[in-house]
Amino acid sequence: MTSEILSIKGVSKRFGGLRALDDVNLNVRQGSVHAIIGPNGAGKSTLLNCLVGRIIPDEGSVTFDGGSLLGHSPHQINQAGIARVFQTPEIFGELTVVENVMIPAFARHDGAFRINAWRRARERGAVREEAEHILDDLNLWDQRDQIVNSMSRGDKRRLELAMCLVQHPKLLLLDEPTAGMSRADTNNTVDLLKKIAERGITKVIIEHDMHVVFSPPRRSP
Amino acid sequence: MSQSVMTPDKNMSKGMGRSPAESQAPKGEGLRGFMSSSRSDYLMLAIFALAVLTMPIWLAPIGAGYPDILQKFAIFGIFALGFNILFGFSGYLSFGHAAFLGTGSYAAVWMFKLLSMNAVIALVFAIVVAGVFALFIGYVSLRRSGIYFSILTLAFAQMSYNLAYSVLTPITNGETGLQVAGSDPRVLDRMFGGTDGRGVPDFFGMELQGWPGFYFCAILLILAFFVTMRIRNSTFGLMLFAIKSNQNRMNYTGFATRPYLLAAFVISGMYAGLAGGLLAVTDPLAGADRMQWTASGEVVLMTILGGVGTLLGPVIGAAVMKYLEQIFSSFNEGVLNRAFDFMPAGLQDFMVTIISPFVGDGWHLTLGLMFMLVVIFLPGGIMEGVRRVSGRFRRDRGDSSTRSSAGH
Repeated sequence: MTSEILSIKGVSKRFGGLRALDDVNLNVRQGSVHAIIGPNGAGKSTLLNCLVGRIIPDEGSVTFDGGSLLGHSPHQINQAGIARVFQTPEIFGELTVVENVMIPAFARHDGAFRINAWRRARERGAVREEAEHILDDLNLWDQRDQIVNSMSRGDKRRLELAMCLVQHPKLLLLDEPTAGMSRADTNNTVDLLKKIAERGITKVIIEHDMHVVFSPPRRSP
Repeated sequence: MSQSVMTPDKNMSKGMGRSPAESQAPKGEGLRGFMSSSRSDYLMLAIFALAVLTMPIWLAPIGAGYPDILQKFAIFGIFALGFNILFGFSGYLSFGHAAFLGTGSYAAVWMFKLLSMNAVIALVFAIVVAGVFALFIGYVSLRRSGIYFSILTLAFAQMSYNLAYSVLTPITNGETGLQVAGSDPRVLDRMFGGTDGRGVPDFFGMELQGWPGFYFCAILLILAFFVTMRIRNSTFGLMLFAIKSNQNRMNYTGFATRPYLLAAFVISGMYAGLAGGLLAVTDPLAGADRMQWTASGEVVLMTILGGVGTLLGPVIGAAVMKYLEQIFSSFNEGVLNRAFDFMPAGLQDFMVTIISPFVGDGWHLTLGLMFMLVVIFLPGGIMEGVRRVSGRFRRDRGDSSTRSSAGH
């Protein structure tokens, strides 16, 4: 029997007179992929924000992996095993690609806070190896020493995905992973997401592009 | 165990046969040197130490070859180094760092009065007191970020300044300033019979005035530089740069950013405490004016002038600023006349008339102009200028010789 990893019950959120979420119920089984579909302004991102601790819902409960998520700060929720890819890439623009991936790996190894003011970051071999492995997997290896700000939008999104994957999350939230992408990039991302599915990571995807949600498997050349 | 994710890219096969862990491809240097080799770090430290210790020689031609000014270079270099750990690394602009400088001075003078004239005891106490004070101010101020954080720190510093003048007069001795006196208890010195009542801070018998005072400060500056370098290359340093880059992502990446910032705040407060203590060591007197907001603004200027977030920049900025303040401000028409002596009389008068508003009391004008020029044309400070020049130089050379330097 597959257990439920995420359960949203009766979640409502109001912004002034606007009812963004009204009694939302959602159960996500371990290892499954859920897509939340709707036009702009439907409250998809608000729901995601409720999950990661950015917004606290007015009513309802959110349970993840047996514990409630409400009232926890974003970093605690991430430490619990939820990683999020944002609609516009949230990455460390002034740092290099490999540093960008090492930072989330450190979060997984060291926890939310650990002063390590003497040991050199590069000497943390295990973290570096993990980061480099992910970069290799996502075909970002050749760009590993590039400053992130100089990368293309598609590469930045791939990098953000790498930053989430290096944490081995239990639940991966993707907020419109193909927004603003060319058709070719979209296809690449769709293929990438399908391959990630092999890792058995539970995913919740927000999307208004039906092509992404229902696209048939595409064979890589 | 770890299954590989295949990407649809065509050059996939290139990455397949090689495990990233075993491939030792030459790695380029990260922007801030997290990936730089420890050998280049030590080389840089050695060059820095050499440059600092030989300052009396190579700064003599521009009139800065005497201990008083060089002590100031070293002390404010430490102050700016510490400030840069907070502002340069994590991007949090504190406008109240002078409070810790002042606290360090008071703490050190109190140790001179109560325990011993030994500088080590005074400095340790100065660092600890400034650190505790920074912990308190940082804990409150870091509840906000951006401009609100800056305003909070400014408010705390001004509050400390005003308290030192009013309520805390028994501790700070108000406007007169805290001084050592022959009647001080100096318990440890009396116990070991070492006191001569002259009230000159010493380092186990070596009086820290003049040249010994400078070398004492210089060695501490080199130490402070080394510690800063280690912090910058450490995991902690990487986290601070990441917070500066995108604090939002840091939160969603599972980091509690406030403890990191508080740690940086306390460390930089301790640097300021050390600098304040050293000010008291080289001249055993502490006044509240050290805590005034102008002093806080000065360290911001030093850091920006030298190069925010760089290692060397703040030290250079501090030296430039103190040079302008101490030497430039003493230039008068007589000095200018002598400097332009080689010119014909008419031209000499003309040059003196043109330049005299910028020296002497007008040194602030020079500083202001310099600051404007740096901010407009070299946003990365003096260090960016150095980098640009050396980059051009390297490119010129790199064109002819085939990239021989790529290997190291």
